[in-house]
Amino acid sequence: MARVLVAEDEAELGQTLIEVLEGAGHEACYTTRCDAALELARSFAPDLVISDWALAGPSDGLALIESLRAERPLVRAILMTGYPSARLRERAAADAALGLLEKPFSLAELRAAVARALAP
Amino acid sequence: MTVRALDARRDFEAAAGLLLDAIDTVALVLDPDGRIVLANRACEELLGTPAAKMYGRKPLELGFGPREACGADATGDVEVRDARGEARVIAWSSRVVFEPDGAVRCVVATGTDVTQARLNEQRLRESERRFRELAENVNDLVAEVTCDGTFTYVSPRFETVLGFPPERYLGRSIYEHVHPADHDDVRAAMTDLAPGVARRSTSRILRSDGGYSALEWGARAFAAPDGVRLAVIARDISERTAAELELRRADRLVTLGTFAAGVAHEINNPVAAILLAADLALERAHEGAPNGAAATVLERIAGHARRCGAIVGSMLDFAAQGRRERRPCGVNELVQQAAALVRGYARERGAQLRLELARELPPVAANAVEIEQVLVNLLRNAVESRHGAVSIDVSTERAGSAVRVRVCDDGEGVPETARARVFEPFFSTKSASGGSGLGLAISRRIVADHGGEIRAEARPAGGTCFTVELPAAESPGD
Repeated sequence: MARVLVAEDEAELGQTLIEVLEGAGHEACYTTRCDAALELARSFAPDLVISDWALAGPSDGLALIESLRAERPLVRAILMTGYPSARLRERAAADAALGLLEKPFSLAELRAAVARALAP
Repeated sequence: MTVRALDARRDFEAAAGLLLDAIDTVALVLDPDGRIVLANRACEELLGTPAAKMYGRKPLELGFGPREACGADATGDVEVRDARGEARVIAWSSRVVFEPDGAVRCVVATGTDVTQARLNEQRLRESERRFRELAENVNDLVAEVTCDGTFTYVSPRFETVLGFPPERYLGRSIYEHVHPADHDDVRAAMTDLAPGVARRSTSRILRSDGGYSALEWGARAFAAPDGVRLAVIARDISERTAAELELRRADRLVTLGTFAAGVAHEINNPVAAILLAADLALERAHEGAPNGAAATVLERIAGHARRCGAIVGSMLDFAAQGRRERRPCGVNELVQQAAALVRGYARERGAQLRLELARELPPVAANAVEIEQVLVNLLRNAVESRHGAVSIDVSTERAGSAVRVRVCDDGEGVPETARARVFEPFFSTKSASGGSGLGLAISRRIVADHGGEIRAEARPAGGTCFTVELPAAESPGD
């Protein structure tokens, strides 16, 4: 089972994500802010980060993932977005270690994305 | 009778005869039967008939008429054909002269040719009627004021547009009707007036409901007997045409379109929460989890669904054609709603939005959708004021009898030369990036309609500050 860091500014969505992840046996922790997420990652040492593109704090989800990767090159990442630009889609398609989840997504889509991201 | 007296009488009669023939007034003397016994030179010339041929005849027989106007003891206009056969109007006056015993001695009639004067009067009346019809039937407001600003004429259209009857204005000063903030402007327009000088401006004018209408006016000075006066023609530019309404709606739609990303984010977030939670609840139900567990999740779903409805509702309000009614609104609430609409867009472009809202602000009488549109326009401009991260400070405060909103950015700023023009329609410093050039023009119109003011200033540290001031709503007790 994996350690998953969730960064999502929509508190109730974040809470549901945690429930699903913990229900699947993962260890999960949660924050709404990108600066707090970086801080948290240092102690929590996640295998996977699931982040919303739009976050509270000075930067966005993509920048957060970049920063995390700089510290933990092997970390897997899923970016959630409510309105993916063409640029973001291209970016995700070109990056094998970056999954893209377009909101709204179903439970099945979430599980599939997590499974794909954690696949060896 | 002495010879001397006889001579004196003869001299007098000769002098009277000379005098009678020297004047241009038609003079006739009639006997008690109304027959002419004396006619002067002016009468001979008028009719082209020697006096001798008139004697024994009545004025009616010579063509004077109508009968009732040329009787004895009559005053008024009579008509007659002159020597050339042309109709002349004679101001006629006849008086009966009595003998000491009360018998009628004679009738003395005099008449002055007033044909030209009557024609002039008729032309004057005609011209006056034409002017009145024009002034009273055009859609514009027409007024005449003295150079010290006293109304001397006001067309009935004033009542339609402003609510006060025209009589209210006469003899009163225009300054009682001009918004205090516009007095200097009007005073400047009223100085150094000479006939022919034209002035134009836009001023807020008092309505009977206590609000102000923006009137665009042009005035031309002319010489009147008592000094220089101004003929003023004004048009209510706050009275919106269908085209203007359509333009405002288009601006809102463009604005909404700009925020598609932000709006999608706003809606997709709760929808994502709904979908995930619904799936989770379904799964638990299938697994036979206790009803309580599912109920918690369902409550969450219902809450998110309501939020979606509220977001869509506020978007529809915003896009809808402006409903014109005004209600007391909290400026802070309007700022927060506008900020919510822009937040997603701001985030996408890396802009930071900070709100600093004063407590206990008086309400303003406003059309919430329109003022929100103004604020959204200012916020969008601030977000677009530079490529990259912009810091935007939005603050509210009380400013005397008004509520002030400031939207300040640290963007690239607007050059001094362009700053005066940013409120002009189709003027855009962002034309390359798709600015319509209408947002600020429409914003200024909306704010002016509310009796408020909008202005742009450069920040010393760089960037631009937009200030909107709206008059506080008077409480019902005032």
